[in-house]
Amino acid sequence: MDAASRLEINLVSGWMNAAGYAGYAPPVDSNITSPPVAFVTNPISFHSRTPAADRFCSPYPCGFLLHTGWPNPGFRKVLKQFSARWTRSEIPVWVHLLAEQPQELNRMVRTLEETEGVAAVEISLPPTARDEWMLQLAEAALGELPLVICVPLDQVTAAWVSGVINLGISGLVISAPRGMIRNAAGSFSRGRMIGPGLFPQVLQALGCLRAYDIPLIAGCGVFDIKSMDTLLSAGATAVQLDAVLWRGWDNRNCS
Amino acid sequence: MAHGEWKIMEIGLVDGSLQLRVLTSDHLHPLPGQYFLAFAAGMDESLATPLYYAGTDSGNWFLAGKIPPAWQPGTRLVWRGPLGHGFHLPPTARRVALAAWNDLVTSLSALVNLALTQDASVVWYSRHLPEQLPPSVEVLPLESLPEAWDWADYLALECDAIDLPRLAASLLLPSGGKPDCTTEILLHTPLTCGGTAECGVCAVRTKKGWKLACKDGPVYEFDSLELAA
Repeated sequence: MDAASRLEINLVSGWMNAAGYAGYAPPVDSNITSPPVAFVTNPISFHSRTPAADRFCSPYPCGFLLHTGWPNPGFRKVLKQFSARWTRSEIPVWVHLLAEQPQELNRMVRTLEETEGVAAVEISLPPTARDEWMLQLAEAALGELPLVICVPLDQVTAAWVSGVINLGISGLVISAPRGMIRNAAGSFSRGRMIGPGLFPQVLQALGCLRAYDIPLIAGCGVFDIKSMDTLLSAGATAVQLDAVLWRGWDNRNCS
Repeated sequence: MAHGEWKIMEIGLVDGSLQLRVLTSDHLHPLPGQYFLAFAAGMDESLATPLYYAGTDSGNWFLAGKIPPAWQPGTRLVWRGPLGHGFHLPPTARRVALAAWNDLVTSLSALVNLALTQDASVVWYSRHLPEQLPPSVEVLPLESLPEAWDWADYLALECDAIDLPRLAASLLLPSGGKPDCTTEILLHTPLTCGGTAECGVCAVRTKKGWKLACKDGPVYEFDSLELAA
């Protein structure tokens, strides 16, 4: 497959949840008056993962750093427990996979191709992997379902991004970058950066990535309707909401 | 789950912890230890703040937690809850022990009033001398907590999840490692999603595997927990 044979993601403009912020199956538990245009599952790995021993949530001005280790019951258990709800869903369901090993990723994607109700596969790549490994993983996830790849905000100009686009993927999500913070013990902790403070960078990244002719989803930094509308008018196909779904949407400023 | 808005009427310092007073007309009956998630409308807050039910008085609710400094009397809060599982004081309990292991005490004061209502004797174990306890409550230092096994028929504890192994060691559990009386504990962990996402940051290790404090807790039966570090 190449860019010329790219599968369409068939997404209407609007909001959806980011992976890890709404569980494994719809509905999204939120107080937003407009319905989501799609649902993204929590990240799922081939094998089960337990919570990180050093998990934490640490606020800083205009955001917070979160590290959980992406705990999940593993692909087979998730499929058994939630696939019926994916089938019944009235909105498209995207299954988010944690890309760790090409063979495992390939097996999960092949299984999802046979699973009713899955509209697309979204993957996140290891944060510190080499470019060649990123491309191998992306290639392993290509198949009969549209493939959407998460690009952390701090990696939008990395060489592997154009590489995966040329493979023929169906879309990119601009996702949360990683950061470090000094913890109570005086050492440094790493995690995902989340919060409205990221919004100007997401808007900038969207502008950079528009040079590629591919659907772009803004996947972090959106905490109000104005930010959402700005990204959609700047060319985002859709917007993914993260921790604002946990905090609650402020409906005062909604049109 | 209910949701709505509150206006902060007052913020006060109670035994070293900040407490909010809000007017409520909601017909909710939260248990001590259950929590609400609230954020201040119009402020750039990334996360909701867990507010623990700390008591009631004539249509006022008292809520405790790590109150953001920007919140002031008059601030409008958007909330949802009550969330999670709270303390279950047995109606037959007549000798109630309460122990605040950490400085942040959110829910034990509500248990004091419940216990007194059912004519129980109440002992409060703490590092600090509390300011606002009814005179009938006996106050003892935290070091005396193991004595509670000799007389209490209900023990409620509150501590940071990270301190659980140290707390367990200090309790000098009776032989067999099981508490002699009904013992519950509120574990403080980040409560970010309110049970909607299974993100795992609040995960607690129990004898039946990992549980999420946001929905399975934050109050647990002490005997259900894995106590090792």
